[in-house]
Amino acid sequence: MLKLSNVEVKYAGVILVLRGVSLEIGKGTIVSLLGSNGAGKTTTLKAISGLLHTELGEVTAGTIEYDGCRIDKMDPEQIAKMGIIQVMEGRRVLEHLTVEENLRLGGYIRNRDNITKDLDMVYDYFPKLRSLRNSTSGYLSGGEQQMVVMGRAMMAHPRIMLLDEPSMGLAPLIVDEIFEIIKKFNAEEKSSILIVEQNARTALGVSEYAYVLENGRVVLDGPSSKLADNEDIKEFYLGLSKIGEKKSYRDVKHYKRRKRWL
Amino acid sequence: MVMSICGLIMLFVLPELPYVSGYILRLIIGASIALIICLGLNILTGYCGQLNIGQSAFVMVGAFTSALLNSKFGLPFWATFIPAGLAAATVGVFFGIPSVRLKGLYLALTTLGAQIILAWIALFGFPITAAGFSVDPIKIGSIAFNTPQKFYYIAIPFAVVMTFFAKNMMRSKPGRAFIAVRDNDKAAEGMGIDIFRYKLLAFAICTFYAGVAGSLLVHYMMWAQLESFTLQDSIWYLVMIIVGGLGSIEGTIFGVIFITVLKEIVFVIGPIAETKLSFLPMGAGSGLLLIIIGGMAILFLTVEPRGLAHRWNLFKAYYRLWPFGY
Amino acid sequence: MEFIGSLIISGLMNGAIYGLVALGFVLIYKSSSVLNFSQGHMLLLGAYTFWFFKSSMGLNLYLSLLLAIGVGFLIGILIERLTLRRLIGQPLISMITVTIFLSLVIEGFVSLIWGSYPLQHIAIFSNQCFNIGNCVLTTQNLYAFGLAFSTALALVLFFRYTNLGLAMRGVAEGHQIMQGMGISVKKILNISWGIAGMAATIGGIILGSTLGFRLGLSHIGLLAIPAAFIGGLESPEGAILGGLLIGLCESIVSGYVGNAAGVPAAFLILIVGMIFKPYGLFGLVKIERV
Repeated sequence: MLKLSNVEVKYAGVILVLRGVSLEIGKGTIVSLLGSNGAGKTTTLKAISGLLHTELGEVTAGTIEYDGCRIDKMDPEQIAKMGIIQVMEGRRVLEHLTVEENLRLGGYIRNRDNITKDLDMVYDYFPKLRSLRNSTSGYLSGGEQQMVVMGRAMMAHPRIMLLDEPSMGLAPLIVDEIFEIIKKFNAEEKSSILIVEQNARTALGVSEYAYVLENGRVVLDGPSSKLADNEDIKEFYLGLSKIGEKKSYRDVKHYKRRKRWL
Repeated sequence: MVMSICGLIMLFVLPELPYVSGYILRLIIGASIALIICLGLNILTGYCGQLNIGQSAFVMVGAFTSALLNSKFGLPFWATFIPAGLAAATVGVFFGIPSVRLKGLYLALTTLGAQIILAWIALFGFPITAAGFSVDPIKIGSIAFNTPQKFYYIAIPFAVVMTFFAKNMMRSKPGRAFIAVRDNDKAAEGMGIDIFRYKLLAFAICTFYAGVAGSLLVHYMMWAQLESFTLQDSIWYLVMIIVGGLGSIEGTIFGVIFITVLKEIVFVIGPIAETKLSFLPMGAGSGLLLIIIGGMAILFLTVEPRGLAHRWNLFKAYYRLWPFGY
Repeated sequence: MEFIGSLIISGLMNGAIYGLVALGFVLIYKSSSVLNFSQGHMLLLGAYTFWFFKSSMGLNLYLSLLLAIGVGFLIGILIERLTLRRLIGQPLISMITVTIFLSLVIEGFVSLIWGSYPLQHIAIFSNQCFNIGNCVLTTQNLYAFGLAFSTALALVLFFRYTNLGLAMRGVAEGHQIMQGMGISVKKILNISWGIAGMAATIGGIILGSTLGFRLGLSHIGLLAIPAAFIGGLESPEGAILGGLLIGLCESIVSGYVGNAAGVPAAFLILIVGMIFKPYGLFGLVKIERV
């Protein structure tokens, strides 16, 4: 459904961030995009959703195709109308508006007349929001704000939801709760979800397929279960080396191993 | 290092060169004084993030302080430029006090208020300032710096020295504190930076620069009048640092030069255009020019909203990595 | 007693006009977070456009009014399209500078076509006066007052209860966020600037018919700024209230102290007042989380 082929992204013409990224998202699947800081994950999402322009970025090579048509040069508003909605990192709620107003704006492009039905759907997914519907969203806690931004995306009935670091800064229990809801949403609404995450374990647990990004390139991809068993992933992202054993400093040549795949 | 020395030598030799007329020197002097004003402004607005729409009023305070000391007590420039700066700084700090509670645009309003209130005081408070009065030129020994050729040698050193100070200050502890206050003052406070004190310090430095520049200005024109210090001027100073680049000393220099040239074009070509286009109503010529200049400036800002300094940095990055773009 | 009475009334009447201009500020700020320094000049342009239709082309009064207001809307959209569109998402201060330059361009344009001398006077309202005690009220005052109030009311309702109003408030919060949700930020900005242009035109027509059609009209913009701030930059009600307060203050202080002391006094009171209420009477408090 969504296909990136050899996408290259530059900021301000001088900073190269993505060096030929190719990935694919099929219908109704959950895919995760892993990588450490600065790998280019958020840039990939912004390239898809069209939000690069305000940050002086652009796709300088490669193509992004959605259902066969190229979207890499389109306006973010058009891309959103086609069904690709991005939930940006950092829980960006519309601060002075209430929770319900935020959600209403989420549904603005889809369904202005029947909005109560959509609102109810979101409140069913996030019961906590129902009690907070008239609170100013700028003052909510992190977890609640994350629910607001995700609910906002859900209001638009996305065909592909791009989630940028949903677990950042949240308590572990809330993280589990949110990922459960992600799974549920994917199952019930048949939306595809592309999750960018640093919390590799949780992301691999919920997704079917995963890509690993480093320095702007995809260095590894495969079904999540296989990746979770992969030696390199275990060491660099899951923090598990030879389990239980003390690491001898003589074996600290993991940087050489790491270079193998860059 | 070598480049800067060469640059400095060139600056000093400039008036002796054949094609450099009094006109150009006057432009340069004007630009140097504006540079000092804008350096102060950039420190407060660019580095410390406190928007100041009333800078020319503070210039006026310094100017009149220096001029009055000269006219009433006969004190020479060299004895008055520091008190002028201090006077302006005192007034500046006073108007900076609201910054303890006010942010951003709301704070800008108090500086606008400063402009209006100070102008009113100058107009109605003291008959002498309202009318305008004469000021002695600057003297060193028996040499009176009363022509552009001579004043050049006062203006440029002052500009250079104050630029040097500004650049160094911004690299040191107060400079970093200013930037911290600008970017996130609550976080800065959490790190132990006394934000109120540093905001006031920024106001003081900014207006001190303004005061010194004012003192230079009146001794250059040898006349002190309040028509030289209007709200328009305050806005032009802001425009200079915005176009040049906020938070950048080099940017201030770029911006001052760019806007000075721009304004000069308007002043020079305006009347000419008006006589040529005499079939249009009165005022059309300068009107047309305003359209062109304003339009160009808008175009410039839409293409590079972060100012010339940003473009310059990008160019440097590009150049450094050439021929590979990135 | 009568003296202060007439001061109060003239202050309120002037204040209504400041309030109307301040409304334009608030509208643009509320939807695009831009402080529009060219609001006064948009007023000027609107006033001159009306003059053009009525005087130069000799059209009927009501037709001229309608056309001028329509053109005012278009002017607002044009300005937004040409300049601010490319600045979506860029630093706030660049946007403000652009509006400053814009005021220069408009002034230049007006000078170019109509020259810099005052234009021939047009009277819209009958010069009927009413006497309340010793105070004099003209129909112009009443119209300005009524207009300012009804416009403010309409805007308040608009922002609070309509979808479009909600979208405008959203755009004020974050352009990028709205873009990501598929809402056309461009369209919304278009509309809000268009409405602001209309409001400016209406204000300009009223002012022009009383003060005369001349370049000085744009200076009203100056006093509308503290009006907008006092009320709080996001609040239409605040703008009107602020305008009235500024008008009152200016009138009373100038009346008793003389020398047009009203203007700096207004600013002084504003500064002091803002120390207690940093965001204006009804403004939105900046939500900060470190």
